[in-house]
Amino acid sequence: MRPEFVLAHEWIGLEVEVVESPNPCEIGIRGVVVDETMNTLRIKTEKGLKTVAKKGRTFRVKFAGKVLRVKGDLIAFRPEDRIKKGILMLKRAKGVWLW
Amino acid sequence: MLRREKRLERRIAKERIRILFEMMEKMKHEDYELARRYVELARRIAMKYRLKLPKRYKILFCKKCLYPYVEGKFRVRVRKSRVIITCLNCGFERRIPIRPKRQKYK
Repeated sequence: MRPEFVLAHEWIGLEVEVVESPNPCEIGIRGVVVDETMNTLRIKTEKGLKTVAKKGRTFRVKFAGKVLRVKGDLIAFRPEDRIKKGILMLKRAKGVWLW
Repeated sequence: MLRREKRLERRIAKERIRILFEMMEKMKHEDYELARRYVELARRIAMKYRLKLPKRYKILFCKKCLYPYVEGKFRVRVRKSRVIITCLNCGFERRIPIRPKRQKYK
């Protein structure tokens, strides 16, 4: 699995940390994603469930053996739409080869 | 106009369905609602990319209310040469016919 496909792949079950956010309280939330909607991620942390919006945030994700920084705006689609839209986004980007 | 990579989409969709059902298996004893949510997501992915859910996944949850079958919440009986699985949440009955293997008569 290539690390670019994090845009199209399943986020439920991944380890996530919020790195940047307009809301200073949200920075540093770390845990496992348990649920996902179009605009939010629900993260299970040590202090309980936290709901974090995707837009405007940056996440650090462990995926395919690598630690990646992902902008939340890139994954702000419905979870089932993200396969199609994520792959199209990768095709549109320069310097990314799908095959 | 960009063309969609349908083969790649389907490959990723299959993997995501597999992941969701594995998570559902783990989750169904801890959080029943969340397990149902995973089934819903997996089914939505399968419908959107027109994949068939494999039979081993289909028999894990109720077709009508989408709640996974957990001990004590479903009943399995054999009646009139069918396996009948009843969901005790909604009462939906699922019938799976049993067919004997065809034998060659000489």
